[in-house]
Amino acid sequence: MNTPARHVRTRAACLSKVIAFAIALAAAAGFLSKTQAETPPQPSDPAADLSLPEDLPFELPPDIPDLLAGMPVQEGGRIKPLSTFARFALLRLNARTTLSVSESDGSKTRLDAMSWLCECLFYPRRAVTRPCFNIDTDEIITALGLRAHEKKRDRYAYAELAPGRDQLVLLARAMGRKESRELNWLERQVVRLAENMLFFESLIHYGDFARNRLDLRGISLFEDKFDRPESVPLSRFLETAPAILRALGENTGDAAQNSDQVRQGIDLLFERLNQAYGALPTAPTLAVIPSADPKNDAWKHPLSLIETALRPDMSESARSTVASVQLWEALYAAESPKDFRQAVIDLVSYTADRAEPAGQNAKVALELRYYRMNLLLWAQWLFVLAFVAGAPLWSFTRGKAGYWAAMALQIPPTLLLAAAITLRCIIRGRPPVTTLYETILFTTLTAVLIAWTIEVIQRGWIIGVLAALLGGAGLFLAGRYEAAEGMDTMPAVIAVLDTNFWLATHVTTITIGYGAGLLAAALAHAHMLGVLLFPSRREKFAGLQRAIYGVVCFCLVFSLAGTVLGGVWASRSWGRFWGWDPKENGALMIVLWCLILLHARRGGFLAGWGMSLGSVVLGMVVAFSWWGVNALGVGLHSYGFTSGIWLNLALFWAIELVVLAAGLGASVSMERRERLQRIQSGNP
Amino acid sequence: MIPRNAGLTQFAAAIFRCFASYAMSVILLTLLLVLVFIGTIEQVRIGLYPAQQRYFESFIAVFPLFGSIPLPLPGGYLLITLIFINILCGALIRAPKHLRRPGLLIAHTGVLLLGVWGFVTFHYSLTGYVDLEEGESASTFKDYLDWELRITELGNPGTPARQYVVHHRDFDSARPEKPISLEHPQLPFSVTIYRWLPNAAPVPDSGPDSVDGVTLVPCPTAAEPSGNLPGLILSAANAAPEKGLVWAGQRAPLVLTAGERQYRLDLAPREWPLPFSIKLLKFRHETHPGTAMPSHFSSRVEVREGDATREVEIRMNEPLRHRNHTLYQASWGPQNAEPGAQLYSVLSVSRNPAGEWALYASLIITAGLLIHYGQVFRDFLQKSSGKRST
Repeated sequence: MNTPARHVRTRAACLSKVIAFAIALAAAAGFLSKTQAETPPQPSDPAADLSLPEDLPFELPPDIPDLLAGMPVQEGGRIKPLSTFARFALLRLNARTTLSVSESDGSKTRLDAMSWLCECLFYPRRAVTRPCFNIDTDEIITALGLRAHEKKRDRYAYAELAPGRDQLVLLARAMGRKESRELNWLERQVVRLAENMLFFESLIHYGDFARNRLDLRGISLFEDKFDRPESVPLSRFLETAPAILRALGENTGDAAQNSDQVRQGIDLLFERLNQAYGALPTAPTLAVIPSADPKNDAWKHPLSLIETALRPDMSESARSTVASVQLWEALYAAESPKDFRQAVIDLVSYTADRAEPAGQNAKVALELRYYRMNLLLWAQWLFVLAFVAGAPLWSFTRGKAGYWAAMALQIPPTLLLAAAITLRCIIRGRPPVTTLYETILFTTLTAVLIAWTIEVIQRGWIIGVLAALLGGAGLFLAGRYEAAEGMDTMPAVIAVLDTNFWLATHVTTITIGYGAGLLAAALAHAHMLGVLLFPSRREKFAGLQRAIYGVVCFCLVFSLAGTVLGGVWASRSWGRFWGWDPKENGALMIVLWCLILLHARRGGFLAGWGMSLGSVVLGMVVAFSWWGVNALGVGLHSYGFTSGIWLNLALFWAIELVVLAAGLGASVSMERRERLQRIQSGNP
Repeated sequence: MIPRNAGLTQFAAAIFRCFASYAMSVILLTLLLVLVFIGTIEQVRIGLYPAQQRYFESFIAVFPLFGSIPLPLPGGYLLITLIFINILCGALIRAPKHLRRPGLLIAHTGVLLLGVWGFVTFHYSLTGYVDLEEGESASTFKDYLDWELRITELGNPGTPARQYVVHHRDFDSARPEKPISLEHPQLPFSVTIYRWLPNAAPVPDSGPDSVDGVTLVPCPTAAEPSGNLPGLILSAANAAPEKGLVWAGQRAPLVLTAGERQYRLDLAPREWPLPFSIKLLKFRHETHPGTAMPSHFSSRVEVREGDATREVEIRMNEPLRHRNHTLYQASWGPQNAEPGAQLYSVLSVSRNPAGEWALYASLIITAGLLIHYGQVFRDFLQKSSGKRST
């Protein structure tokens, strides 16, 4: 039964808790801002003087990267294997998923992404000497007053860049005030390099929470609570701090009188926290501590654990995450490779077990396998093989066996591409297209399948060869885009895209339209090239003309249906069917150009050659709709924005304009020649 | 014998043939393509909404070629109207109709229906928004584009205030040389508006237009209509002060005193009545773990109509449709709110007499094209197999 006195005491305790918590939070804010403001000094000898954490005193057992690869972590709003994080982290810095390094004996070896990440986590002093920063122009290096390599575009180590780090960050901050579309290419490179350096720093210091110890001597609130206050592991602090703060709140009947003393103690505590973990990233993106509550899907990163520990009301479930920190500490405390290996096994199995009840571990193994199988790389080279081997097979073997052998060569890469898309759908639980990267895969598959269908109907071999070429080119483009972006290609989707129905209908349909439009353009190139190279065998390419017409019709139907479905989706989510948004206009432009071609053909203004020229323009329009409008950076389709592609687009359009000019010139010349022949034959 | 109006008939027939021709289709579609391209690129320079107005909702659009050479183009309204006529003449009247080949006829009919939908939507639909905090109710919605000048008589607290409302389109042509006066028999004063500024900002000034050392200067129109803060400069007869500024962003309204009565003048988004009221019960806003990326946001609202109430969840892609109005989950605010801060929900409201016509039209077009090209493909397959067998 609550007596009035008890009631008063409870209120006082609550009040003091609130004050203690407020002081703690205020101090935490100071701690964070201090961490943000501080920048490391410029070292004279980077590799030695970067005040880096110590490397492990032994070499890792060789299977450690593989063991750690399947550990679930949370990044970018989703659970993924650590290897996926490593892959895209290295891709972001290095523009490749492997790193070429020179050993001390002069030999060259290749590190995979997980081995590189292990170096960052456990051998930071070695990691900073690895040339993992891909720099596209040495202008940045010279602008920072650093020594540039001989090659204009080269890879640099962190230790080489570190002396210019502060200046780089200042430059990037100044440029960051501009709108991203106002930045020129060089400025974008500067911003990107600065971001990459900060990201790399967050990686090499990531293990500090488990590696470093806290010195709590001289802090009366905490000192006598630990056996060795001069070296307190974070896990012990996390276990003990909430109880201390709770007791503090309960014992300080008059919180106001004691607040100065408490504040002093808390200030000192944060000073020590800053000393021990000051280099912790202020906004770490990698969360490795699984949520203790199956209903809560947010994982923790070490910094947020410290913040949580300072809450007097820290829940039991939150405290249980301490076990995870202990396992990380065991990694850094291991004294032999054998101990380390065991610690890794314990950490990975514990993390996987904690992720299991909430179903967060369900797709991790599949994703690990997906990237290990490297289906898309295999498909790309098999398409190239199908093209290289298929063309002579078709050209020089006139029989059916040669034809079908060449066709059969295309089956494995097509199946691999389809399998990759299917696996991505299963991993994400989404339809095949939700990101720009996936549009490339799906467009490629669409173009290959349509080309295949036409080839099976017409059996003329040219379209078959073209299918292999398109497959290889599409996957090459996908690889280039992935490397250029350096971001997870299976990210969490924003709220408006959280609808599998519209993703499956509108986005898929419109992407099929892109594939058809680009195929029509490719067929047109083949048609014009064939006629120009073999003018006497012009009728041989009549099949291509028919195919171009058919593919343009196909493109119209799917682009129109996709545009309309997009309108209906917009009507459902934004309240209007049509808003003249750049993305909508891009799709409309494809529809309009297809309509122009088909009406002009029906009206007799365009024939075979004209349709080919028109289809080349269709390819240019598709490129604008697919990529150009995303680069404009305006409109409601902000989830599809991308930057830095204008140069590539301009190059593509310039080449196509040359093709068009050549095509028009050839058309005039052919017409003149034919007229001449008719006059000579007396039949003008 | 030649009829008297044969020349006229021939002329009309020639016009009809011209409008029904493929050449006309190709020209109009090409012009529309060019317009769409230019209008899209221009959105980067002048913003989405101004570009939409200038290029797609106009009869004639002028594009500054190389930034300075004015290039007149037919606007979207004109082109779409001409395309409508072209389809009507060419595809529906002139084109031969075969029941065995109905696809193109169906598709073009769908395009015409889409055109009708566009016309009705452009002229007769209303769009706006409601912003509500949890527990708040609304029975009106605010217009995105239109503003109104409200003159409210300040009475005793508790007594209903009399309000006089003037739509901004009634005075947006006001210029210093051609001011517009507003009067009402029950108002003891008249107001003369000298200047209407669609987007304005107050600046210190001591010129003739200034009031208490401040004047309003025009600003470039914002990319989104919601970014505009309009203002006006007025003078009052039989009231004090004689000159005043009214700005949509002002904190203290302009108050005119006429005798013993006082009136406040405000510029506010035009309000439209809803045939029901809604109350925001709960707003949910979630982000993907460890990111600021929204994963879900939705509003649980109570819809009240007379004594009848019902609860509805409005979320992305799942609007509320009721009494010819559709309410969508549009956004929330404030955008820079601290974690845990009270948020308000923004619901977009649309009232469109054409409703779902666009969907039906689109289905008709797609069906027509599928029928037509399905038949073309079938014929092509038959020809191909025939060739191979021979």
